[in-house]
Amino acid sequence: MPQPTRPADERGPHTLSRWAERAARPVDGASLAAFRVLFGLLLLGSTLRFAASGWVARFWVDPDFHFRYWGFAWVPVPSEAGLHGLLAVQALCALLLALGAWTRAAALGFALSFLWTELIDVTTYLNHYYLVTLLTLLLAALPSARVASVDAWRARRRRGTEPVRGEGEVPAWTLWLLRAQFGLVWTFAGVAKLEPDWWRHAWPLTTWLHARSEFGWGLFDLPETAYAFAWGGLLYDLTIAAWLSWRRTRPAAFALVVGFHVTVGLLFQIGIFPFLMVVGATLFFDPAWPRQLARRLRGRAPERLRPREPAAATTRPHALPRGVALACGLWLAVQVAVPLRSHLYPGSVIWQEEGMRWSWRVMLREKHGDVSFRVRQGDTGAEVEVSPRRYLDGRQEREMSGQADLVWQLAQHIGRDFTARGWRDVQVRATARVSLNGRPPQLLIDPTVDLLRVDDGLGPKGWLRPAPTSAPPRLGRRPVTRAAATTTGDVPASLAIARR
Amino acid sequence: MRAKTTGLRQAGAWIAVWGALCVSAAGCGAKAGGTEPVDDGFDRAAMLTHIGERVVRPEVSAFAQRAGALATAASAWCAAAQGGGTPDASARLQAQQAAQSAWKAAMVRWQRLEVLRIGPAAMNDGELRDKIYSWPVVSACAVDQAVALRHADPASVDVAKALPNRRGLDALEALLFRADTAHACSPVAAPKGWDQLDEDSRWQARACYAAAAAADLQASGDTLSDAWKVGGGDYAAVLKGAGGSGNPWSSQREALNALSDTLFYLDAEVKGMKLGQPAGKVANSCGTADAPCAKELESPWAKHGKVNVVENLRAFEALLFGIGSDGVEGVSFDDWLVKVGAQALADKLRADTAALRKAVDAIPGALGTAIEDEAGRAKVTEAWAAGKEVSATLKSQFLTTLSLDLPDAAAADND
Repeated sequence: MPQPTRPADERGPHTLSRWAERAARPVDGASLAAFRVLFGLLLLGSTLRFAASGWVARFWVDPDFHFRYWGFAWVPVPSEAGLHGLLAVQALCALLLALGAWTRAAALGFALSFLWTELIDVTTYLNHYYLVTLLTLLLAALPSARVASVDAWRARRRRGTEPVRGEGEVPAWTLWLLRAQFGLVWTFAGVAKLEPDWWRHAWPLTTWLHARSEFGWGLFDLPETAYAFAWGGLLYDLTIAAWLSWRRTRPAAFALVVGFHVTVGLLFQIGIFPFLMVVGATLFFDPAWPRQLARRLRGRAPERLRPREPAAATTRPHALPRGVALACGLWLAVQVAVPLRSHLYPGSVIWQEEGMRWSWRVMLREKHGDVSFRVRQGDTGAEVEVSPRRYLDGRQEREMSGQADLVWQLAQHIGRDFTARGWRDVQVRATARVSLNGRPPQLLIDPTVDLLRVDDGLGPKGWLRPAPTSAPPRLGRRPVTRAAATTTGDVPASLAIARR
Repeated sequence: MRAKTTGLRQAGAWIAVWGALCVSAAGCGAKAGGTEPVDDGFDRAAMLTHIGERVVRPEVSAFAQRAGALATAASAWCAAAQGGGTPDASARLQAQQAAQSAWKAAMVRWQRLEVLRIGPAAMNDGELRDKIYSWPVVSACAVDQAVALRHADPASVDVAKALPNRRGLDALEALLFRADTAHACSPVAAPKGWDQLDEDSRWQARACYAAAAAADLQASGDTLSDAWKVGGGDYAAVLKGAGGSGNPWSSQREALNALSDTLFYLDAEVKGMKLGQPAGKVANSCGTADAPCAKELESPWAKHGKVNVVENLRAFEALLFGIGSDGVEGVSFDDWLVKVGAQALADKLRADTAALRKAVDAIPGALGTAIEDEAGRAKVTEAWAAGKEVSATLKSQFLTTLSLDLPDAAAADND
């Protein structure tokens, strides 16, 4: 049977034109506004929680040493009062963003002040903090305040009652861009889960679920549960953007988003991440969903959220400005390229961590290490060991232990410290024994390399040792053997186990 | 429009189903996190009970008894030094030796509690612990200044309100074990009037300050003991009930993490400060490398550093393997490892700890003597290296396998 041919204008360069025209087509700005409001409130809550938790002092004031991002060591560390001031700016900007007052400036203000605090110490890096930075930068550029905002109200007051064509609408590409941003997060998080430790060995979920045994009706110690979570998470991340994009599956997919992230949020301490992704998922609904919801909830929509008449048909197609197309293309290209850069490095990303940050490898590995530095006086050969605790707190030490670039940074600091104490020709080597996903500890860094004589940078680090080749241990509940159930001496049966 | 509202309704229904599942899971979790044992293959409550009742509480009680004996002995030393106006050097020396023995007996028990630092001794940034033993914040000069002040005007110094380095076992060591009566201060900080005192007066001043410090120690020991005593604070019951309503531990996991924190005394204090620094293997206050640093020795006057380490190891093993004060092994971290399938790791920890104990036992004589000659220092270095092996396993695979955290590292978001 002959296949119907597609019209000529849906192929070749015309297809691109049609997509450009669709991207420029105005749609209801209500869903973008809802995202802005919810996101702003989320940021406000997060900022207040951060301050209330005493994390300003703990993360930025108390530590004597800060790990800096490559190329950003120049970023000044404000005083404690200055840091609280930055958080106050963030809280104010988040509130203004939610209200839609001076919206773009508020989004930019939040992004810059947040970025400043994030650049102070690498050990505070979280994937969702990076996502927050990207989203606020996007909102600084997108017209998110055309509906339900102080800005829109002020504009209406300025021009009086005269309606304006396109009021309350935004170009479709604004929603597409944000959807693409969230879609990339999910997709790359899914691709990262193709790591064998995750899907073949269910690590690190095995140990994390075990630690949450009080949940899950006692099922969290079963290896099968860890595998179910691992495979479920993998499939979820890889496909959820597609299910959200397809109208027929969208309701179930959104419920899945809520269920998945709420469950993960209940089990693990991951801050606003679950809420952020749920809020992001609302962008995939019909642009008018807030009006539909308001109508259902209140019987009729308030004036600001009345159903909009479809945009008047016009014979002239909507044009996507070339600058907008280029900027969006560039943004997305960067968002794709940055996570993919990890493939330029040899070896395992979760071991060497080259290309790990900003690549949406979310909760992918459990690493603990014992790092000690050996400082040698080159002219005498005398050597002493230096514990990282001399310079770091426990949180910083934990983060540093599995990240070679941070070990290198502390080695530089130790080198400077000992030189200042009068040591000559100082050499610093590190013994970093790291356990990746429950394996026996292995050397992460070549212990013979003087870290003061090698450079850190964007290139591959030749001084790293290869990743372990063994599989992670298989943990989980085992049947209790008769021998293990034997009690001893005068210890009550409920307390005693076999003496070995 | 109808299709769109149907979509919203469908989403709402799905969310309701998921929500019900999540809430029920969390609800069950809340119940299970209480005092009821969790049916997950490892009985956390049993472990907390065992550690509280069979490991820590007996040690606390034993320490309180020995602190009481020390107070009695120090009081007798003071009386002998005063001698009813006619001091008898021989009686004073005899009483001093008795007090020294009492100090050593108390110190043995305290060194175990140094490791088992959970609950009352650790609260308020270790306020009670510092009253009992403030090492490494130790100053013989500060003690001497307080002694001189109190001798000149007994009402001017209240030991119970003194800074930690003027009281407790460390101050008592400086009072009991120094062979002469010279002060330990630089000339500019010399205790007022000390050089003008005759020998008998100095001993009297020192012995009677020791009596006051020992009485203060006894009071602190009783406070700690009362906090653990059944019918008193019964802190073992608090540990046992971790996660229950009104319990200061919000979950069993939090309490277990705090217990695992105490294991890391082996890493920082035992391996690093007590062995590595005096042996010159770890950066120290002497600023030298591969050379002995006597300044870093713990209990230098009593020459008790090695015994301290041995007792620290005893407590470490008691906690890791659940060895009760009666020598019977109960539920603890090793059993937890076995339950989750990490038998090999449990065996490695046992073997490495045994090797560490053997290496410490092989150090000849007192630690201060051992570090001064090459052969002895080599033995201390071997013990330090054996400690590194244990702490490397603790800080890496142990934490990962049980999903625990380093001390002072938890309570932040992840992703």
